[in-house]
Amino acid sequence: MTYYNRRRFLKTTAALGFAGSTGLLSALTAQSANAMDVSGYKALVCVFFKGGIDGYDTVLPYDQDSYNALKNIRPDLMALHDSDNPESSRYRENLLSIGSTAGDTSRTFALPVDMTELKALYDAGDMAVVGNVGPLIEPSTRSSFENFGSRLPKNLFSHNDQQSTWMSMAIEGRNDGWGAKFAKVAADADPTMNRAFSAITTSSSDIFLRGRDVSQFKTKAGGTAEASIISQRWKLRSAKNSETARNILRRHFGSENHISASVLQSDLATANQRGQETLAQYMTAAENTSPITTEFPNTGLGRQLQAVAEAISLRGALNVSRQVFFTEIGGFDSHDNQAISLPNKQREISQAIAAFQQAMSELGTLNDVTTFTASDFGRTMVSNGDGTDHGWGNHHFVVGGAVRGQRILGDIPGYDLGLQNYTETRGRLIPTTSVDEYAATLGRWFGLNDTDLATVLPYWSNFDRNYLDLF
Amino acid sequence: MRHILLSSVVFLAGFGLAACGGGSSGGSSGGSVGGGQGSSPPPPPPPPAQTKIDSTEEASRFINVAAFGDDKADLDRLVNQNAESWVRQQMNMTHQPYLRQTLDRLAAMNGEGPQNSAHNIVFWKRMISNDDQLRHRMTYALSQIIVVSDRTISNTKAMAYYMDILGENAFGNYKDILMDITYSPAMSDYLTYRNNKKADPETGRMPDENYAREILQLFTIGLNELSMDGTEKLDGSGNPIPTFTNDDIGGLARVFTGLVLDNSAAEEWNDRFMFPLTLEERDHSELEKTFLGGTIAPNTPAAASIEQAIDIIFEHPNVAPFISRQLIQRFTASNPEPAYVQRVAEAFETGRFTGPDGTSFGSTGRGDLEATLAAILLDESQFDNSHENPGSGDLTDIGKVREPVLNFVHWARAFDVSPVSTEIEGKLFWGTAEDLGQAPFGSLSVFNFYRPGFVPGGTMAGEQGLTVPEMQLVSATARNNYIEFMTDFIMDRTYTISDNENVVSFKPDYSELIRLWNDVPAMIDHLDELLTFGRMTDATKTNITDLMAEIEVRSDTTENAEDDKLLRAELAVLLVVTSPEYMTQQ
Repeated sequence: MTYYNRRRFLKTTAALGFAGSTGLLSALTAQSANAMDVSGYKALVCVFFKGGIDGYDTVLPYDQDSYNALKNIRPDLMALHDSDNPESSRYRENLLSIGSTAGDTSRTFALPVDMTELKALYDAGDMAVVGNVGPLIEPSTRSSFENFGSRLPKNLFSHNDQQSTWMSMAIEGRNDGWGAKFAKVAADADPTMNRAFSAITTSSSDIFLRGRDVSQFKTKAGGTAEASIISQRWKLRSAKNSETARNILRRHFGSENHISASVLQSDLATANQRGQETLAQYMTAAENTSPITTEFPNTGLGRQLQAVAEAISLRGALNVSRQVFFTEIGGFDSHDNQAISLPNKQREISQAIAAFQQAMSELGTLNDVTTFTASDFGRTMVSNGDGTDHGWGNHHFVVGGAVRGQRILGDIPGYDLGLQNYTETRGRLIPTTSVDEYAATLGRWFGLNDTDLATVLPYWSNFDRNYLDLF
Repeated sequence: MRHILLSSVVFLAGFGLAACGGGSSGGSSGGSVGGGQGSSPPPPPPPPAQTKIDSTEEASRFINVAAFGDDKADLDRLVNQNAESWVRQQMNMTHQPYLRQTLDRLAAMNGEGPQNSAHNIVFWKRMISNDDQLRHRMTYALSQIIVVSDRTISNTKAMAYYMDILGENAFGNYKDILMDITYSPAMSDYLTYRNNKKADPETGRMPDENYAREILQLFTIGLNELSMDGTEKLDGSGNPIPTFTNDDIGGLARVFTGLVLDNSAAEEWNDRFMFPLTLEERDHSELEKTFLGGTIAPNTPAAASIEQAIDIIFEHPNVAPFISRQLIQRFTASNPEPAYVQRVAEAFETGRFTGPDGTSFGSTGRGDLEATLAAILLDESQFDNSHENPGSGDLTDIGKVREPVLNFVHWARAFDVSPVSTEIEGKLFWGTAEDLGQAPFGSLSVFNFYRPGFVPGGTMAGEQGLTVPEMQLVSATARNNYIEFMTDFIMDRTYTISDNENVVSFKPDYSELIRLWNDVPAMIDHLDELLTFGRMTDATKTNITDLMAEIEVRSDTTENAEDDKLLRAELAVLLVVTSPEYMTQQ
């Protein structure tokens, strides 16, 4: 029987490229002759819309013909939006025009009035729209989809698998995501940086930031504190003056002396130890940094983006030059009640991202941080009465000072179910821009070179290593 | 040594099975590891496993695997019994409806306080204080496969009615569950098919596909074809074989049209959610419904359509391995070896299981959950000491990472907390999802708190390709929240309410630890028996010993002395319940 001594394990496996903590990973670094650019500071922030946001009801048609066409395809849903009422957020004249794609200026598009703040960012040139992006293995059309003429992503239209595919280019079961891989390439290229904080989530520990050599740190608005039994002295009652007792508790909570033959126990102990270490570092950094003053909306996404802004404010104290963040907002699986639920969510998104941009301005990091959206999939253009079902391609937002904004990149196909852009039934968009291209564009801005990108993004080469003209 | 002894012959036999059953491809839901032992001589037939429980430690382990743990007196009563007799006894207890207790609770509240958590309070209370533990544990396990969440469904009566479907059928037949949940208002709201209408060529409206997809993907067959051992079948090019296409979903979606609330069931709107849905024929699709190779003829009425659809779905050979593997994960093993999955799937398939001591389980045929659950709990791997790793067959994988809810309830039962006043513990309803990291019937989505195929990145288990769903909840923040949640309960739950009256709640019985206050090794032994089944690590023992040395028991007043003894007990318990050995089950 082998007993795993965790400390020993960390040291020996670090050389093999296994997850380790700070200071043990020098063997991994400087392996690439033209390592990525890690000068200055840059961060990518993913805002994931869990459940599959309806892109047709987020980036809406604005010219009269297109507007009528969508309304004819989903009359019941538009009626539930009360779209003929001049008070309605979907009344055509109330929509916030954002112009056309470069390829087709005859049609114009708009955001709903619920996204007023995003429209302002768009107009200021700090936001772009990317039309019809989604998972692809190689370029695909209706005929190749219906006749298996092209290789297709597995388990299309399945929530968990398409979330996983957006985050890791593979269905559920994979153990690393492209966010973690970006962070790893950066951390490997900058041996001086504290990689414990290169991947930060404010939400669930999704696959996007899980991976080898990177462990995601989780934080929340207002920061984080040591266990109360340690930090609140009175809790130790008669032993309240015993620093020794507190150190024993720290040792135990961090599983520092744990040795076991069990893989599962050792994995938990390693996580505990890493957690205890990073927590202490994060708290020290927060104590030595003045808090940000921007006010965030008190919503789920608002608090998460506040936590991201707080973490970015600590970048100097934490010693990180590249960071990838993950935030999420749920409630987009609008099989029913879409006319009520979606506008509420759109307001939450718009207000939270606007506050975040204001905080970036306060920190002077407007040009250093790029926020992008993602979601399981788009939805069907044909409704089911009061909602929509699972689709594929979708429209997304990229926000930041570095973004060449006020433009719609990619395609927004016409609202005609007969077009080759849609599956034969229900009007599911077949993506014209792949997630690999979308990610490669963000990755290149982040500093990754083409060699690294091609390694991280398995299908990018099938798209001629194409970039979007985003930055 | 640790568990119930069995000869080393079975050790070899176990490996033989692993080698035969273990597919080499690491499919997402297969997670097959094991095997790789090369050709071994044909194993001799294994002697029957011995399921007699020999010690309090063994009783403690078994009761935690099968149920929620217990105090020492109850554990001692199990010693010298066969595990079968406990399982049989538990299965013979009749179901006490959650709905009735929920309605009692609502009546007692008389409109005061939160009205939408009554079912949840009832469930916590039953887990912590009732004797029919196996039924609750099975209900809880099923609730994590066929998910409906009270974070979305705010009608507590709808939730209680749904809980009863799982509770009543916990030892019944899985097919009955499928039929009952289809007609349940809670599921129909959760997966949005209540008031779902047939297609309308005029407006282009199509039936909602949500339930059609999830009943296949999550509740019955999964996405890819499986062998009986739960590993994925592969086609000629080595790719998994999908179980259904979008056309199947479109066909099946037509079935779940016309289901509506039964307005005649109750006067009050909210009360109608505790009765089965009824059918509105004019909204039900009269078209042909084709899916999974079966066809329901045009113009088949709604009730017959639904019945035929459940028949077609349930016929699929994936159901046994798909459901069996997930049930195993909820009880015994995060990454069960394929041979174990196969043994359990066979019990599901045949509807029969005979325990090592000859006790037989199962009477309802294919899909029998009594047989399936008995096969999980009484499996040879669970009573084979030569398996270092019960349930896995692979020396590198051991048992299961425990779920946060189980970690908490184990503590509560081990120290016989009293009174179990769940109704004043707001933490147990609104707090748990965030603080404990998990709440019964409180998942954030239909995908539960973790996925059965989750392989944790950046861990040794992940490097070996092992599925450990529960590790999806592991993070530094979750660790801190758990420590905080447990500290709070372990140390003080005495409330002062508005008129300065103290309300005692969840008061643990640490009397044995207090009695042993001056004998730290004896304290440790007691805790090891009760909480870690004899697996407490040297690290935890050292940490307890060192910490106790810092907690002096003052002798100036009796009050101070009692307070210090209590503090010693509380801190010792806190260290154990935050140790990696407590948070795993092996």
